Amino acid sequence: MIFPCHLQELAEKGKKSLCPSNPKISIGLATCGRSSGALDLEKKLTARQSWKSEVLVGGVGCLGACYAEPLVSLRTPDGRYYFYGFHGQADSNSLWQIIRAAEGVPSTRYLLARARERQPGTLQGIQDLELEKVGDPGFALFFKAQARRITGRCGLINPESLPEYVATGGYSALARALFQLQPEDVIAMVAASGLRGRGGAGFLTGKKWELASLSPDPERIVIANADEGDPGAYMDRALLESDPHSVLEGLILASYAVRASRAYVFVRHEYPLAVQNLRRAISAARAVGILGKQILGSGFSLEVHLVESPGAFVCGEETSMLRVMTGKRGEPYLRPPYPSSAGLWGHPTVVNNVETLANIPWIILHGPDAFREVGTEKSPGTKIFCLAGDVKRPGFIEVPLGTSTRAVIEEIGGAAPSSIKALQVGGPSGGIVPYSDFSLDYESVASLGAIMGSGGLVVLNTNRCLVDLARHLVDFMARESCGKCLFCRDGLAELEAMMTSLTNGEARSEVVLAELEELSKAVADMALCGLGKTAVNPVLTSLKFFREEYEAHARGKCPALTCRPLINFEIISSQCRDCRCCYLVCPTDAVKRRGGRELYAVAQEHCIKCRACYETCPFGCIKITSEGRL
Amino acid sequence: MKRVEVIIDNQVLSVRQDIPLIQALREQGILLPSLCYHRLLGGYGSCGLCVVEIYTEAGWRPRHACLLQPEAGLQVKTNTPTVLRLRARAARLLLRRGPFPKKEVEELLGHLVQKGEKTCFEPDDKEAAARSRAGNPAPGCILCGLCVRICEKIRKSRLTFLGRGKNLQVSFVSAEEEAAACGSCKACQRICPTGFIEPSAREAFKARLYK
Repeated sequence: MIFPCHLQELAEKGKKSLCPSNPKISIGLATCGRSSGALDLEKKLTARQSWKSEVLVGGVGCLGACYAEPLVSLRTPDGRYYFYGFHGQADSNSLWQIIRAAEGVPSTRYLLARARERQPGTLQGIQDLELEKVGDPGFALFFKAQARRITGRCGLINPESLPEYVATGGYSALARALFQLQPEDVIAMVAASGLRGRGGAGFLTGKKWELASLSPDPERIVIANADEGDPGAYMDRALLESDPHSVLEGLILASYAVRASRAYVFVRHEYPLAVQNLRRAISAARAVGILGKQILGSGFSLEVHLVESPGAFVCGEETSMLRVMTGKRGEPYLRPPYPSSAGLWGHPTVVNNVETLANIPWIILHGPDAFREVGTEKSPGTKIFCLAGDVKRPGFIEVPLGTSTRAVIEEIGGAAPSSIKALQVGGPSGGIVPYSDFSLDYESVASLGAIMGSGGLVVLNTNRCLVDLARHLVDFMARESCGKCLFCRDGLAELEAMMTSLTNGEARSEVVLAELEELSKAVADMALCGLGKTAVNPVLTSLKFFREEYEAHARGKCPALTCRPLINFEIISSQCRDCRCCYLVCPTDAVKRRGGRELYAVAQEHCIKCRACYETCPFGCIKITSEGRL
Repeated sequence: MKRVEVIIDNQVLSVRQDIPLIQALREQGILLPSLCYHRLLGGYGSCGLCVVEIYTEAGWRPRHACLLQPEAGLQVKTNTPTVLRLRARAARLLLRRGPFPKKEVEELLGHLVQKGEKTCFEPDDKEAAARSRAGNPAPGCILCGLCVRICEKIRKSRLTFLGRGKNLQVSFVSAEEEAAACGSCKACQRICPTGFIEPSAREAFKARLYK
């Protein structure tokens, strides 16, 4: 194995900062950490004068356990890690816990877990850590079912540090490819691994590269698509904020494989931190000769440019993205020609999702057979999911494809199975499916009428109205469509109007449901691009699996008791203790005081269904009803 | 000029290969309705009226005729119940963008809706129609993009799409020497299928920008 000597130097340097001989405090400074006050912790810790040379304080990315943010880990010189999670309470108390721990008195109060490096002084990723003691059982369960292959460095290394990335085995795949493999070999390896596009559609990555590499045009382009717009999905963001170099390495490998001389990263401008980390990663790589002319002294040269997306959902669709990059309006166009035969400026262009690219270095290092060890026959490897919604432990997880939903939601997410009604898989173009034990791989999800999508997984409990959720998603798509074709623009708007008539009680009969289904199918048939074709998935799947909810709404009844125009508040006088809470809290004076046995009653004509009385009543004697039209 | 044989409604026809199917059929006297196609500007696929069914590996599938290139052996059906139904749907959605100054457009769309009705009964929801019209900033414009494309074609580029999704609208791009740049050629006015651009593009599109 040829390992260029300056990579060796970088690795040594990185090792010193990863596993120093002083105590080291690492604070999770990705967006999720920042939103729960991590920056404040960092400021206070770095300001401690007395620590000048004793304790190191640094930032890392996202460990994935977003539910416990802000996350702080402490590494003692003997290779032990103390993971602390403050569950949104970054106050002076938590600050003192960290300070005392760093000074040698580890507290157990916010301790999630204690782990040890298997061989003190070596750390390649989370797989090198051995759990010693569990502080919070949930934290251990959260990681137990996961297989953190490409997110192994997230939350352990400083995303802005190239040496730390190299020390954890980074860029060795690149060195291997450049000096030992031909571009054709790289393509063959990726094809043999069976890696499928992680952006949602699941096209075989090796095949895509092969198409581009067979083009007669010598000028080829690779684009990393990081324009992630799905509500509830943030895997690209987490990767770029926590481990930007792995994406960059994948991008360089992809460019080498198809012999491209130019590569682009297309990032949403709503991801300022990801953009900043990526810019730093690119310039750091250029400074040490990993990008630019003659990479690492080989004969391969590459320039990487960062393009900020204008920030519309449709710009993440690959054809629309290519238009945007040439300075035009983000309107998709019909494929074929596919970008891999004629894309940006007419040159063959490989467009890969960020997560797809992050898989490439792993495949080159460990080989396609090792890659196939996890996952299913047709969907090998691992997939990052973003667990959100009604679960105890939402976060950023990586599991083998084909993992059962039960393992993900109940073990990792910690949700009680009895409370869950449905899952929303694959963002607004995915589907709303009933919660059952199915395998999370491309085929199984497609057989339910949803798509794998980018990997958003929203858990919905019994208090969520699925008609209203589907309406919200269709509304999102109707606003975010490019507006070129009638069915996607006006058809979706029409669907949204129909769904609104259901949720506000204007729908008069079940004829509306047949109409909803007809129009949804027409939109799927007639829309010109993937956005329109999949925008109706939430409606079609929820109609298929939860038709009774729609029927109830058509009768003016909301089973989940959330659609305001369809619900009423009643006070059960037998339990009322006359505490006056509801009377005082009501903003519209709808709670009237009566004489006699019935102390209070809600005057329906004044009630604005704000739920204030329901949430305030200490005795639980307010009931929400939804009678419907008989 | 190469010609290929295609099968239209079970009849073998020889059509030109270098133009969109809708145009190739027009030259054979088969007139598919369309509001967003113009032979100088090519297929665009906005209005959805020119829908036909073609035979693919997955069976008969609806497609826009203006976005299809004729190829040898292509099987097309222009009048199936599915096609008529989809056409009626498209017409209904377009009517919501009315009323249109050109009455013949209203008539055509009304006729298409009726033809589809024979194959599927749909309740005509007057209230919903009124509601969706209320939110429309430019009644009479169907956003077919013909004016934008023709203006670009003649190298003036004074019209553009603004916004996206259901808030999409056409807008006039002002410039310093307006009088010299726009208002005389009337290309957009002549190409507009619904007669919306009156008296000029500047008036039609600027006045409604911030309503």
